[in-house]
Amino acid sequence: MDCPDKIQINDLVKISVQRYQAGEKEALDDIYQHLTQFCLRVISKTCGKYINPDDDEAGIISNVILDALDKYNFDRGSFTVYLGQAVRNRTIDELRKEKRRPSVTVSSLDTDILSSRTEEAVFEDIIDDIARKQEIQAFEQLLVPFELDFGELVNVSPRQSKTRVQAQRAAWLIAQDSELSSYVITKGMLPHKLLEKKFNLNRSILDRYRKYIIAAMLIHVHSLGYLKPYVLPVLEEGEQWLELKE
Amino acid sequence: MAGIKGIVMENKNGHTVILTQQGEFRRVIIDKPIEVGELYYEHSISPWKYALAAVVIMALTIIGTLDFFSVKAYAQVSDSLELGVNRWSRVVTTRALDDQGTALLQQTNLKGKKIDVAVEEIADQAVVQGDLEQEDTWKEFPLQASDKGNKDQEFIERVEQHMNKGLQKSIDKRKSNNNSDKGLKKGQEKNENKNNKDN
Repeated sequence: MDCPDKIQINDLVKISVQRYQAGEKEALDDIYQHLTQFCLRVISKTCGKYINPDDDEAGIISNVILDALDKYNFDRGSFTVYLGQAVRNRTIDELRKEKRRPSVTVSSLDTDILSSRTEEAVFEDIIDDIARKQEIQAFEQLLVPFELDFGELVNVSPRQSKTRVQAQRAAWLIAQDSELSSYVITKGMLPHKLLEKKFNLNRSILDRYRKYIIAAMLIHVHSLGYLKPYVLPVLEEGEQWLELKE
Repeated sequence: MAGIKGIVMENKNGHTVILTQQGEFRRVIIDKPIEVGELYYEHSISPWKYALAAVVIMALTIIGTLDFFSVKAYAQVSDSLELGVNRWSRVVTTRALDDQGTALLQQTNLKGKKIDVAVEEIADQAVVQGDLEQEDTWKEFPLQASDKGNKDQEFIERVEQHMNKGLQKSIDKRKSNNNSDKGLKKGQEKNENKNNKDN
């Protein structure tokens, strides 16, 4: 699954900005979606509320992006940081201009973005959030053939940590075996007998947490980098992997 | 502050689903704007802090209780009773010094009461039992406070003031009762005289 992480998005932006400034205007198409999402998040954080692409506050985005692309040069550091500052300043200006909200001041805007943390770190986090969101959307699509969604996963998620670790272990073992993972993906079922025989897995856990195991397995199989650490089985002290049956 | 950390997986109509660090999909309520993909931190008070708070509350309760029931001075009332008084001038122990005191204690419950209220009740009860005549009140009802080795003279004086106040209240009460009785008798006599004249 091709889900760019923060570094890949940053690299893509850097290359595309270079191409754009070199006269290749189509390069903007490659990053426009990323930049729009980034700007939306900066505006959301500045205003302290969720902003949709259709909201009035989002109307400045295209102008600010084009303006930033024209004025930016690489001596100024990262383009996303530069764009983030431009969006934030413009948002504050717009809010102050609004007669409907004359009381809006810089201090009443979101504190996180103006706090002691460096702006760069805040904007980097936003890029991370965007990359994570794209991965989650991809994961959501992967769940569809199995008639699963996040609401359902809440219901089938193991509550006890020991059980959860065993379910995660099952998912991880299936993902390591291409034959087993192909079986699960194509049939939508777990090969209970084989798993019991080969990995000595608990039948009741396989039955009860089948949906959770499939979801966790999909994260491993499709190498969803942001989600993977969350479903990796972590053994508690003194706990041992069950021996594989020959 | 310990808390749940996770990724926001879904945020629809106020319902947010997060994937916790332990790999659990969990539904949470978030009261601030948050988007899919953002990291979520739930600040909750760790169980250790609850336990510590419980221990502190328990310790304060025990100390407070012990302090409440510790006698700071003894108040001797009418040579018959000895009352242990705490720092808040409340009676926490009672001891009869003779049969009259035993009888008084059987009729009254003084524990927990302010010393002035306790003395007032004792004086009232003594009159009811016939141990005390109004004229004898000050003479036959000596009040005295003594410390418990802590030599807090100021506190002793304060306790004695409270005791005198209580006794004075009792005396005033009886005086007003007697006056109203006398007034009633006079009224009755006037009525009787009037009736006799009419006849």
